[in-house]
Amino acid sequence: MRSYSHPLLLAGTLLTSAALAQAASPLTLTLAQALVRAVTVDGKATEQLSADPKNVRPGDVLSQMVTARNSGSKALTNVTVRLPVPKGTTYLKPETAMNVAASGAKAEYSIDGGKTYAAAPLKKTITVTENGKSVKKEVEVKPSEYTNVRWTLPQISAGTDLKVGFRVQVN
Amino acid sequence: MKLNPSLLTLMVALSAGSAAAAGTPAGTPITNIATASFLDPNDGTTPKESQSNTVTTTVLPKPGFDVNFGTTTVDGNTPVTPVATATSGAGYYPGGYAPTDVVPTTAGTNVDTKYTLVNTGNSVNPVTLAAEISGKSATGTPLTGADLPVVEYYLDLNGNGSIDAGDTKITGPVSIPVDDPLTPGDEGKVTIIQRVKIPSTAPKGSEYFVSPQGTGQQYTAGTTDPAFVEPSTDLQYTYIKIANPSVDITPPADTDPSTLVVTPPVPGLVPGTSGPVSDPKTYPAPSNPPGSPVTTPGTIITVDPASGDQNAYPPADAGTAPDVVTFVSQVTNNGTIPDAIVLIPPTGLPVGTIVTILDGNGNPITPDANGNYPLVGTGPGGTVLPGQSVPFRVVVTYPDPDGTTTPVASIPVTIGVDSGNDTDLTPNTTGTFTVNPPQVLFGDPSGTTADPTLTPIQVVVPGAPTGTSTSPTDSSATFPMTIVNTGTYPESYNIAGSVTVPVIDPVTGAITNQVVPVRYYLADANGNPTGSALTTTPVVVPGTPLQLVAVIDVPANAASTNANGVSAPLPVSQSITGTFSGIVRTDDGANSDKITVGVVNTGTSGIEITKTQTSANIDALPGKDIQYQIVAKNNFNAPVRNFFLTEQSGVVGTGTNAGTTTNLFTYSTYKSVAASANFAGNLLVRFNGAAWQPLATATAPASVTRVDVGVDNNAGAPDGTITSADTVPSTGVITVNFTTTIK
Repeated sequence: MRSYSHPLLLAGTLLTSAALAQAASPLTLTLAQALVRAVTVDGKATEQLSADPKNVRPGDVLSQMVTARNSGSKALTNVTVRLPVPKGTTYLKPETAMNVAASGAKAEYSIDGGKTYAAAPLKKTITVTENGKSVKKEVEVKPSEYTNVRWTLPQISAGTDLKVGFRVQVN
Repeated sequence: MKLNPSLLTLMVALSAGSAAAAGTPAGTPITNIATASFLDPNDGTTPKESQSNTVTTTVLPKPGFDVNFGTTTVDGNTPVTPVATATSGAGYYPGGYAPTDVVPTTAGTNVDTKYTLVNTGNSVNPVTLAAEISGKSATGTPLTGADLPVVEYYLDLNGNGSIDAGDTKITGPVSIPVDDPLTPGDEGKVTIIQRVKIPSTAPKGSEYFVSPQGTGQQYTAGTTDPAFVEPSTDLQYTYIKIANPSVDITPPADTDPSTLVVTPPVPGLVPGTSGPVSDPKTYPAPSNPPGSPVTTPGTIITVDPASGDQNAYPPADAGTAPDVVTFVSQVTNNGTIPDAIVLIPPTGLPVGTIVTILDGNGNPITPDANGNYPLVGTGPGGTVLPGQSVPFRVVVTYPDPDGTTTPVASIPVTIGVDSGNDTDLTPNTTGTFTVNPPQVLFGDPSGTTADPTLTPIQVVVPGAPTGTSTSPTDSSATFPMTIVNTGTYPESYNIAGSVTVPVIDPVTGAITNQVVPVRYYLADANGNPTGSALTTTPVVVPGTPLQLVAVIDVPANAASTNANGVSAPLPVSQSITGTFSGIVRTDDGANSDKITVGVVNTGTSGIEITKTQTSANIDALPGKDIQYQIVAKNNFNAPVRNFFLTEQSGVVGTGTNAGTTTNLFTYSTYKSVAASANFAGNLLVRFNGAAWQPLATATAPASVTRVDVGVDNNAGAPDGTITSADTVPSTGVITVNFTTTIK
C-alpha cells in the first residue's frame, strides 16, 4: 500500500469524484453550489443562480446547499449536518432556500475550525488595552468570522429531505 | 471507506482561511464537502456518518492594480499648487512629496519620491510605468521641452525610499506579485522610486508636477482590460518648486563702520537744475583703510532707495592725479533659502577708469574661479541667510577731469549680483554707481563754446560817456564772455574780474594804478547786457552755454595806453569758481582780454598855449622893457615828446596855422628869458637855432631872432639837448617869461 505522505493531496484525490456510496446509510447528502448574481429583470432587482459554476472571481457570491435525504424506511433523529465555510470564502448569511425552519432545526456556528459550536450570537473574549491596562472584554462575533456551520435536525422523516446551507463570498 | 479522522481535521483546518485583501489568488480551487452524523435508526444507538459529494470551483483572475504614494493610499491629487489644508484630492500632497526651494545645479539635482505599486487583484499583474509631467513658470506660463525634467523609475528593493546599489532602473513592465492570503503580510506590492531630474536650466520659481501613471491589467465591468491606463483622476503627483532667488542691492546700513553710524538717509545738498536741492538720502563718502585711495574730500553721494543706485558728486580738486570715489552699498537676500551670492565686476569702463570691489570694511575680496566676488554671510558655508544683508564697497578711480578741456561724461559703474541658487552666471539684479565729475569752460565766445585764449581788444575814450556796447568811442570796455558747463552736474558760478588802470592826477600829473572792477551782466539775444550786475551766475545746466557781458568803465583820467607809437593795452583779469564744485577757471595773464585807452585831451587842445602880457601897457614906449608870459600845458592823457616853446619873428605858422606872422623881434630887442616847469627836467634854451644851453646860464647872441625853450629830462638822464627822448607829461606846464626892449 502506498503510504499517504501528503494527506491533503490524498483527500483531494479521493474526494473529487461523486459522493461515496454507503449502501447501508439511509442518509444521503448532496452538496450543491451555485453562483448568485444580482440582476434586473423587467426593471426589478432580483437574483439569478447559476448551478455548479466552474469558475468564480473574488467578490462573487456562492450559495452552498446541503440536501439531507432520508432514503430509508425509518425516520432519522438528531441528524447533525456540518458544512465548513470553504477556504477562500467568507460566510455571508444562511441560505434563504432552506426548508428546515419548520422542522425545528438549530443552527450553530464555530469560529475555531469546528472544535466548538454555539448558537448565534457568538461571543468571544478579547484582550484590549484600556487606560494602559490589559482588560479582557467580551465582544460579539461577526458572522464573517464563522469557520464552520452545523445544523441539528431533530428529525428527518423517511423519504424526505431537508435542505440547509449558506452563502459565502469569494475572497 | 472511512475517512481518516485526521484527514477530516486537516480539511477543516484548510477550510479556515484569512480573508485576502486582493482576493483569492487566481487558480485557487474552492472545494467543499458536507458531512453529517446520525444514529443508526435500526438500533437507535450506533453513530453513523455520511458525507456529501465534493463541490469545487476554481477562482479566475480578477486583475487590478493601483499606484499609491509610498506613505499613504490617499490618491487622486491633481497638478495644482499645494494647499496646506487639503487632506485629499486637489492641492493635497503627503509629507515629503512637495519640496520647495529646489536649487538646480549644473551637476544635476534629483528629487526622489517613493511610490508603491499595489496589486488589487488576484493575479500577477505586469504594470508599465510612464511619467505624467507638467510644469509652469513663475508667471504661470506652461513649460515645455528642455525646461521639463527627465523622469526615471527605479526599484526600491528594501523600501527605504533611496536608490541604493542594486535598485535597478525600471525599463519595462514590473510584475506585481499576488498577495498570499495565508500570510499576515501583503506580498502584493512593489516599492519603486520616481526620480525627477531637474534640468540645470529650470526657470527660477517654476513648478513641476510629476506622477507615475501605470498601465496594466484591470478587470472592470465583467471584462479584463489588458492595458488599462490609470485615469488622470487616479494619479499621485509629486510637486517640485524651483528656488526663486531674490537678491537686491539696497541702501547701505552703515557707510563707515570705523565711525559713528552714518546711514542714509542723511539729508544733504546735491546739484539741481535750478540750484542745490536737498536730497534726503545722501551720505559723505567713507574713509578707506590706511593706504587705500582717498575719495575727493567734499564728495556727496545720493542713494535711490528703490533701486539701490547711487550718484556721487565730487568737487574739483587741485592737481591732475586721477580722482577717486568710494561707494558703500549692500546686497540683501530676499529669497527664502541661504544663497551664495557673488558680485560681478563691471565691463566696458571708459579708458582710464579702474573699479575695485572691496568688502564692507574696505578690505579686498578674493575673486572666485569665474572672476566674481563672493559676499560672505553667516549661513552654512558662508552663504547669506534669508533676510541678511552683506555690505560691500565700490572704489572708482577715474582720470582727473580738471586737467582736460574736453567735456567729461558721467561714469556709470554697473555691478551685477548673481544668486548661487540658479545655475546661470547672469546677474539677478544690478546696481549702478555713477560718478558725476564737474568741468567747465570759461572764456571769450567761440562758436557755441568758450575759448579763453582769445584776446579781443576794446578801445575806450576816457572822459567820454560810459556805455554798455562795444563802441570804441565811449569810456567803457565791454566783452562778451561765455561759460559752458562741460561737466556732469548743474551749478552756478561766482564770477569776478578787474583791470588795473593807470590814472593821471589832474593836479600833480602823478600816475597811479587804479583797480577797476568788471561788472557782469547776462547777455540778451542780441548780446547786450540785461538785468542787474551779478556776482553769481544762474545755474548752468551741462551743455547749455551761458552768455555774459563784462563791462569795465575806464576812469576819465586814465592815461593813454597807445601813444607815441607804443601800445600797451591793459589786461583784464577774469575768473569763475563753481559754487558746488569749487572748480576755478580764469581768463587772464597771456589770455587776457585787453583795453586800449585812447589819447584824449582835457582842455581846448592837447597842447594849450596861452600868452599874456605881464607888463603894463603904459610901459610900451621905445626903450622901455615889456614882459610877457607864455604858458604851455599838455592836456593830453599821454606824454608829449620833443616839445619846446618857440618865440620868433616872421612867418611862424605851420600846419593849420600856416601863414601866421609875428613882428616880435622887428620892433623889439630880446633882452632876457626866464622859464619854469612843473615837472622834472633841466630847462634849456637855444637862440636862433644854435645849440641848446642851460637856460639859467645861457648867453644870447647880439641879435636874437628866435628863442626856443624846452625841458631836458630824457627819461631821467638829461643829455643837454631836446630830443624825442624828452617828454612833457600829461598836465605838464612850461611857463616862459620873456623880456624884450622896445626899439
